[in-house]
Amino acid sequence: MAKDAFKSKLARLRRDGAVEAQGKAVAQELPQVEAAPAATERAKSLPAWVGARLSRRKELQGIPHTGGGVPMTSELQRIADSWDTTVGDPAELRVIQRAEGEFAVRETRIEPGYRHGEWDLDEIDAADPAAIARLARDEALGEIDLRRAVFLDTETSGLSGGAGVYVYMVGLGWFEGDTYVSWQSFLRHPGEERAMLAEVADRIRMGDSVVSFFGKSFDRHRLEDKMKIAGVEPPFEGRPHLDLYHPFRRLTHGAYPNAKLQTMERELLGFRRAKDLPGSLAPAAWFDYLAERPHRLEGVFLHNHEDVLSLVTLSAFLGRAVAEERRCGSALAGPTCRRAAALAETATTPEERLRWAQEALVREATGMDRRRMQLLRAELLRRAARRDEARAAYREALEECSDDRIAVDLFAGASMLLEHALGDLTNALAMAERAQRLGVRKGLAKGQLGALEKRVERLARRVP
Amino acid sequence: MDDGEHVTRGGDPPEGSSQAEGSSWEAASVRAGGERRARGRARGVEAIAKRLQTEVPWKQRLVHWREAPARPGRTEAWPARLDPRLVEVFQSRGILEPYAHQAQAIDAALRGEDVLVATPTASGKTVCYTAPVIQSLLESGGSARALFLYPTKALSQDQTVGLTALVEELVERFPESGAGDWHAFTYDGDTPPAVRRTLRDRGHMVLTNPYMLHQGILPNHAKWAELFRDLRYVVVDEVHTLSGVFGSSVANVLRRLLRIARHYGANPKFLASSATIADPRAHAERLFGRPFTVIDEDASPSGKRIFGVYEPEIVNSIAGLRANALEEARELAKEVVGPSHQSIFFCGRRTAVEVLTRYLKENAKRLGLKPSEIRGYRGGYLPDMRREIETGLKNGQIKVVVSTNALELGVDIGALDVAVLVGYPGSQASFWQRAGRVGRRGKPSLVIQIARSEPVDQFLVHHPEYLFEAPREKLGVDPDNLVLLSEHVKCAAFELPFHAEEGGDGEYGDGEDQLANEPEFGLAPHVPEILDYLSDESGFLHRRQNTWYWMADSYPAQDVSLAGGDIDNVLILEAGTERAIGETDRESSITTVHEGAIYQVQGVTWRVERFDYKNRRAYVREVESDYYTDAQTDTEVRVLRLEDRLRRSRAALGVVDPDGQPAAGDDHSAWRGEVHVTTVATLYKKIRFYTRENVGSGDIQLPPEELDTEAFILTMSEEAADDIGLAGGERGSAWRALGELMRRVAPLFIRCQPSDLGLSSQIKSPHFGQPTIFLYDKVQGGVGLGELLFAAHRSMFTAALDVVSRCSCEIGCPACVGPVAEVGPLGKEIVTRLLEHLGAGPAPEPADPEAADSGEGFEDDALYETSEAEFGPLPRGMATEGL
Repeated sequence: MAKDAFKSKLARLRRDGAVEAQGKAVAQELPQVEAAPAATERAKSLPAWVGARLSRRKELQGIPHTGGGVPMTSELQRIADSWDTTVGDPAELRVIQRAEGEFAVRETRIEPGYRHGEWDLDEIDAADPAAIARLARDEALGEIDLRRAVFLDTETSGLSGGAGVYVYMVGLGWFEGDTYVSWQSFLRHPGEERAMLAEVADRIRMGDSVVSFFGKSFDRHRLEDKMKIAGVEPPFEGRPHLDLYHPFRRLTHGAYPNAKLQTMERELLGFRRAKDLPGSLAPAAWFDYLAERPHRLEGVFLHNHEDVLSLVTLSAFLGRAVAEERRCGSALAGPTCRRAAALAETATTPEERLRWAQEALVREATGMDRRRMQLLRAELLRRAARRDEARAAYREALEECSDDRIAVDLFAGASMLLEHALGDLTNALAMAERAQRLGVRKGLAKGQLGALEKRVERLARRVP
Repeated sequence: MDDGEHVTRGGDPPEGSSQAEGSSWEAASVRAGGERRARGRARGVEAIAKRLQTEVPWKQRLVHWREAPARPGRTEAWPARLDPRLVEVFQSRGILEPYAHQAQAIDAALRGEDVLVATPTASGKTVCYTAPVIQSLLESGGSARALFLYPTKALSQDQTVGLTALVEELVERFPESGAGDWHAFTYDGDTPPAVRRTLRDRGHMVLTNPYMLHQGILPNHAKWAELFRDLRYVVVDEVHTLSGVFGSSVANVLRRLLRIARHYGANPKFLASSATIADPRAHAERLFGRPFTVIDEDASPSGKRIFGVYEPEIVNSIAGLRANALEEARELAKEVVGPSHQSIFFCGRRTAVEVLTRYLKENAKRLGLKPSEIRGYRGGYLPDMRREIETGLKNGQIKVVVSTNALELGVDIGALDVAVLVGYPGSQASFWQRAGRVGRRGKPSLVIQIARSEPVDQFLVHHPEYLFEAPREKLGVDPDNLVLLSEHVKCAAFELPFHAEEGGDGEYGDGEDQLANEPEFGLAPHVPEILDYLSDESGFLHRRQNTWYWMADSYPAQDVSLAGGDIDNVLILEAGTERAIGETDRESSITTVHEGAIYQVQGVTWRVERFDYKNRRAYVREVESDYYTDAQTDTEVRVLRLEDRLRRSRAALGVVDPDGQPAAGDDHSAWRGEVHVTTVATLYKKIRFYTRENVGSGDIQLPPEELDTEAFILTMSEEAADDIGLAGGERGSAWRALGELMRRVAPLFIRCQPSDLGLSSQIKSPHFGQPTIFLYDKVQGGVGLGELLFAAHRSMFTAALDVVSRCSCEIGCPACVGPVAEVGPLGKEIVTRLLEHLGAGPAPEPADPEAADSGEGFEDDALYETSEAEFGPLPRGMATEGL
C-alpha cells in the first residue's frame, strides 16, 4: 500500500515537476540516465510524503513547460521539434585553463567583408560617437570607439533572478585588427563557473567599453551577482556601457510591435535568421545537456553568436542615425518620422530641437508623435520669441485636437503666449481656464493642476 | 485636591536610580507634567486601587488582589571592554550605569558569545544588543555590519529611529569616530525600490523581518555581499514569538543566513532577546542550533505592582450570564482613567478595540479628557498613524490607548500607569507582556484583568495563582521537521551549492558525517537523502561528484511560506479618492471588510461598499453608523484521501456477541490522510453600540478560504462506545474535550504549538459514520504534523490520561478536560474512561485505509461541520499543566 502511494505521488510529481517536462522538451525515446545506485536508494529512503512535497512547484502545477519556467506553448514545441538534438559536449570547444579552474570556449573568427543582413561589420568605422551618445543619452559614450568595444550577450539557466541562476554562456565579440572574434564561453558543468567568470571579467577589461542589448538591466546584474558570489572582481564599474535597447526603442517606438533585438535586426538591418532557438528554450537546453540527455545547445550557440553580431551592426546603425544615411549613402531603414522625433527629443540645443520637430511634422508624423512635436514646436517658437509663428503653431495644434492631454499643455502655453508676448490678458485667462478644466477631466497630477489653478487666479486678478 | 504624590512626573529621579526609564530611548522624558484638571478626587495609582478595593460596586467585582512590592534596580559598572566613547553616549542619554543584566549581556557579547536576554518588557534589552553592535562599528572603523530581525514592521521602524539617534549622539560627541557615515535602515516591503540599492551597499545596520530575509535577501545574497562580508552580529528580537511551525521555519532561515555568511567569510554572533519564558536556554539553543549564554535575571527596578482580577456581575442568574467584559471596561474606565496618568486597555479583537475607543472618546469629557487624548491602536492602521500614537504615548499627550496585542511586543511607547486587560490574552507570556506595559521607574502601577464569560477566564477568577506562577509554557521548535527542513534545504541549494567532503576512498557523501563541512544543515538528519531526492527524483538539483547545484528555473523561496501569517494584505481605500484608510490581513478580511461591514478607525465608522476580493482591495465610505458589524464563519473538513490506517477490531479486544461469537466491527481507528478545510464567512450581524442589540443582519457573499492539508484522524465505533458503557447524550462534549486534550498534548511529542493544529470533532461524521476527531496541519500543504501525530497517537493517549488523572480538580477544569460548564458534570469521568479504553489493550494493526468497513457514510464529497467555533482554543499556558 505504502509503496503504491509513493508511486502515485511520484507520478503526480512527474506531471507537474521538472523531470517529466524536460523529458518532453527532448526526444523521449532515449533512456533516462541512471543515477548512482547508492544515491538513488538513499533518495528513496525518504518518506514518500516528504518527496511528494519536495517536488511541488506551485507556479507550474499542471502546466507543461519548457523546463525554463515558461509555459510550453504548441508554437514553442513546434520550434523545439524543428531542431535536431545532439548528445554530449558541443563541438569545437577549446578548454581554457586558469588558476581558478577550467572551462570551455568556442571561438569563431570572421574576416573583413562579412555581411550581417544588409550591413557590413566594418561599417562600425563610420559610426559617429556623438550620435550614439546623443540617442543613448549618455555622455560617457561621446568618444566610444566601437573597434575597441566588447559586445556582450549572455544565456542563463533562468529568468527569475537570484543566486540560483547560472550564466552558462557568455558571448563576447571584439575586433582584433580587421578580424571580428566571436568568443562564446560555456560551462560544461556548474563547477566551472568561477574560472569562466574570471576570464570574462578579464576579457571585458581588455576593451574600452561594453555594448549590449538590455544589458544594463539584465546581463550586467546577472554577471555582477555571480562574480560577487564567486569572489571575482566585476569589471563594469566606471566602464562606458552602451545599452542599445533604449536608443532603439526611441528610434522605432510605435512602428513595430516591440523593441526586441530580433525585431530591430530584422527591420533595420535586414537580417533574417535562417533558424533560431528562442531564448526561453535556453535553460532547458543546458539542463538536458547536464543530465546527459539529448540537447539543443547548438541552437543556443547559434542564437547567441547571431545576437552578438547584431549588437555590432546595430551599433553601426546607431552611429549613423543623425546623418540618416549609411556610409555608402543609402538611406537608413526604419520609421523616418519617429527618427526625426527621436532626434528632436534628444537634441541638445533649442535650434536643433526645433529643426527636428519641424522635420518630424514635415514627414507627416502621426498620432502621439505628431501631437508631441506640435507642442514642442509651439513651445520652442514661443520661447524663441517668434510670436506670430508660435501663435500659428498653437492655433494649428489646437484646431487639430483640443481634447487630449497634449491640449492641456497647448492651452497653458497659448495662455502664456497671450499674456507675455501679446498682452491679451482676457484671452490668456480664457485659455488658462480651458487648460484647467481639461486638466481636471484628464486627471492631471495635483502639482500640475495646482500650477494651472494659480495661473487662473493670477490672471483673474489682473483682468479688469 | 492635589495629592500629587504619585503622579509627579519629570521631577527628580527617585533615589537609587541611575538609569532612565526602561528600554525607552528618550532620556527621562517629561510626561504630562503640571496638568491638573480638577476632578475633586484623589488621583494616583494607589488611590485608584484603594477606591476599587473599598467602594461599591467595585469591591464586590474585584475578587482577587495581589501586590508585588517595589524592587530597587541593581546596577553594575559598565564593562571594561566597552568603548569609553559609548559609555559616555549612554550616560548622556541618562544611563549612568547599566543594570546588572545589561552589563552582563554586553560583556558576554563583547567576549564573543551568543547571548540571549530573557527579561520582561521595558527592562532595557535594547541597550544589551545595541552596545556591542555599535562597538563593532567603532572597532572596525565602520566596516562591520549587523542585521536585526524583528517580528513586525512596526518594531523595526521604531528601532531604526532609535539606532539613528544613538549614532547621531555619537557623531556629535565624537565626530572623529567616523560614525557620521554609519547608517541604520529598515528594509521591508515598504522600502521603495529606489533606495534599496543604497541601503544594500551602505546600510551598516539593516533592520528587517524574517519574511524579507527569507524571500528577498537570502535568495539575492550577491546584492547584499557588502552586508554579509562583514556581518558581525545578527540581532533577533522577541524570540518567544518564534515557536511552532513559524519558529521552526525561521530557525531554518537562520541556518541559511549563517551558511551564506560563512561563504562570504563571516561568522556572526547572535544577540537575542525574549520575554520571560520557561527554559529560555533550551528554546534559544534549539532555535539557533548553538550554545547560548542566557541572562534572565531582571535587575531593573520596579515600582509597587498592584494586580486585580475583576469578575463582571451576574446579570442573569438562571443562565449564569455575566455582564459583558467590554461594557465593564467602559464602566471601569471612569475610575481608572484620568488626565494626570496614562492608561492602556488591551482587547482581544480589533473590533473590540474600535468599539471601546469609540465609547471612551464619546465619554471623554466625563473622564476629564479630550477625545484626542484617547486613541485606538491595532494592526491595520497605516504606519504614520501608528508612529503618531506611539509618539503621543511617549511624550504624554495621549492619556488612554486601547490596543490589541499590537502593543504587546516591544514597540517603544514608554511606561504607562494603569493596564486593563479585557479578557485573558491566552498565555502567561502574553499576560506578562501586557502587564509589563505599566510601571514607571519607582512608581506604583495597576493591572486589572477583566474576566469574560469564557470558561478559561472564569477559571482564572477562581485560580488566580495561574497568572502569578513562573511560566510553564514550553515553546515548541523543531528545525529538523522533515518538511520544513527539506523546503529550506531546497531554498539553501538555490542560494549556494551544497558540498560534501570527499571520503578517504574517493567516494562522496555516502554518510551524513560527510556533510560536516556544511555545519548549518549538514548535521541535521536526512539532509543527504533530501539532496539526493532533489537531484535524482525531482530534478531540482544537479549532482556532480561531491556537489549539488541548483538546476531549475524557479525561485523556491517564493513557494515556501514561513507560516507566520500571510503578508498579502487587503488594502482599505476610501471609495472615490482611493485614499488608504488601513489594511487587514487576508484571513480576517472575510469577516471585517465584506460588503456591508462597518470598518472602524479611531471611532470613525466607514461602511464597506465594495470588496474586490481578487485584487485585495476594499472600498469604504465614511458613514454615521450607530451600529457595528460582527461576522460569523463556518469551517468544514472534507476527507480527500486516506493514506494510512491503524485499526483495532472489537474482536482483538476480546469482545464477544451475546451469542458467544467474537464481536464484529471496529473498536477504533487512527488514520492519516489529506483533507480539505474550507472556512467561509456566512453572515454578519449589525450590533448597536452600547445596547448591543441585534438590529439586523446580512449575508456575506465571498469565496471560501481553502486549505489543502494533512490530518490525523481518530474514529471510534458506536459499538465500542456502547462496550464501555457510554450513553449517547454524554459522548458529545466528552469527545470534543478529548480532541482538545489531544491537541494540547501534541507539543509534547511533535514540537509544535497547539495553534499550529486545527481541530474538528464530530459526533457522527458523514464520512466515517462514527464519532471522529480531525487534527490537521494549519499550513497549506501541511508540514507533516499529521504524519507525526499518527505515529505518536498512542503515546498521546497516555499523556492525555496522565494530564486528566493527575489534575487535582474533581469534575473538570480548563487545565484538563475543560470546565464543567463545557463538558458537563460527568465530563472528566467519561474522558478518563475513553482514554483508558483507547490507550490500553492491544495496539491497533495496520489496515487498508480505503476499505469501506465502517458501514454507512463514505460519500467522498460529504461535508462536515466542525465544532471549532463552539469551543475556542484553550490558553497555551494550560497545555502542559499537570504534566
